[in-house]
Amino acid sequence: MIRNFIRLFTWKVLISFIIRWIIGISCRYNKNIKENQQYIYVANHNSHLDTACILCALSPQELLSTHPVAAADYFGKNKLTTFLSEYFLNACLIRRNKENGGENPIEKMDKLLKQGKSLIIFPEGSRGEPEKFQAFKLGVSILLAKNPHIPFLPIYMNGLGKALPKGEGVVLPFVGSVTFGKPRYINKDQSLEEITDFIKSSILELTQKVRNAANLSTNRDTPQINLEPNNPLN
Amino acid sequence: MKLEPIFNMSSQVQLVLIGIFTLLILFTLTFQALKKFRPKMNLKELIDRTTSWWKMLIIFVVCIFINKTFAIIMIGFLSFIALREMLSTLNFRTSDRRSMFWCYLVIPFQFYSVYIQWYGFFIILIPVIMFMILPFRNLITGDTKGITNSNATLQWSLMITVFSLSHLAYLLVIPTKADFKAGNEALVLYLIFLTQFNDVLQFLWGKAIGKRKIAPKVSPNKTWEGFLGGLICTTLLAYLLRFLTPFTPIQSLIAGFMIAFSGFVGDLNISAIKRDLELKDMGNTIPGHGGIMDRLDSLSFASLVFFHLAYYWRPV
Repeated sequence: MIRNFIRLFTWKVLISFIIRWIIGISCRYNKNIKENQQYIYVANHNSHLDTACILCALSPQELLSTHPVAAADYFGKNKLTTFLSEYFLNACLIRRNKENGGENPIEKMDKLLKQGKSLIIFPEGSRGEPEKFQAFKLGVSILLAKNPHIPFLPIYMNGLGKALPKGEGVVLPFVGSVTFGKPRYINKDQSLEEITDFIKSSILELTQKVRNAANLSTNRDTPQINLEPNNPLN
Repeated sequence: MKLEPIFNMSSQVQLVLIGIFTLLILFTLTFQALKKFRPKMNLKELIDRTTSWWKMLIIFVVCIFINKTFAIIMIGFLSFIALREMLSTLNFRTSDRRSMFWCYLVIPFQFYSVYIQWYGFFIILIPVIMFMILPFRNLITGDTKGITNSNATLQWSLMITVFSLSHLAYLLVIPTKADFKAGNEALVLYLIFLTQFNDVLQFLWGKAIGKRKIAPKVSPNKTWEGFLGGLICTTLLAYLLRFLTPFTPIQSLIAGFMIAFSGFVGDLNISAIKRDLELKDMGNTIPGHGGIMDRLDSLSFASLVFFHLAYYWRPV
């Protein structure tokens, strides 16, 4: 109870204020999200601010039942970071390389989905350069194939990679936005690669929408798609 | 009817504010009537604009007239939003991040110097001190590819947002004649009302009789008729509203003319940048208007010109 209150206060009041007014990112709550429904939020990943922005945009109820998936080798480096990310972020810490043994990341996420929780997953794996897409990993597709009744919700964020890029300590005010797409279901007979392409194309659709809304010409800062073959998470 | 001062609102200011609210009510009613009787007309942008005008007017009244210190802080915050929009829109290199951070850092110093009325520091901080600090920070980073462009654009972004808006704040503390009763807030109202109304007048004159384009490559909608119509009307209006200022009649005519002219140039200046960047608007902060800089475009030049006129005419 107290923890829920602290989490809501941190994300919906404190961090929300900083993100909206100081950094200048518009993350409006979106009507496509139905309350009490389970989602896998899938988004592009350029910055540490990404998770925070998504959490700020969610309604209180969803915020409490959503677990961002984070890398155990980064966020679980020591006991303090593990505690902080599990207490405030509700993070689901997974191992990126499975040589060290331990729990299978897919099973860990699957367990949370079975409990009715929502997940935030960045299929790019790690943060990339601003306004550029990296190759998508297969983990989300495996989860979706296992749970075809759960829709995924594409999210596109721009400007965040400029506000706090990888390897920088200083947060810079920079105008950006978080855009939510419509929830989508996958088809049971789709292969993992097809599901990945489906996810990627639904995020790219959003980039186009943002571009049109801002009246940007298409040749300026167009996201580039890295055409390397997908390397599966497992 | 005798108006009593409320907060920092003198009776003169209240009179003008009542006039502005009446005008806005009139516009709102006209558009609503048009929407009802001529549903085919495309009024969405005009209605969005009027709604935004309502919000901006209310925020303006709350921020400027309650408390002088609060007003300076709020103008500082406005310049922060404007600078943020500028730095996000213009194409900067990733290596410019640290110098961009210095640009944000200068805002509190600039507005603190307004608060303590340290004119000497206020007037050199950005044009002289930042002029040296920004290249210094850039050369510490050491990325020389495009450094000339970066130095110039950073400095210029600061000038057009923070420097020009801080002059608006300095109007609140500028020394005025002893018999001037309208208050310094009235000067801010005078400047902002004339600049913004000049935009509206130019638009209306241009729509009514506009034919000859004044700058077809920069802004195809601007016409000579609109420009001159706005210029004459604003100069006359400046003369009629001179009870808000400590100026003599001649001075108010000069001030009105200069506000209209520099406002027009400032407007075209931002338009030219948007053409260069292939953008329609600088942002989408204000529905119907675009970004903050789309609204402050004329003010960015007019505030500098008006402030220095008022400062030159101050009692010594």
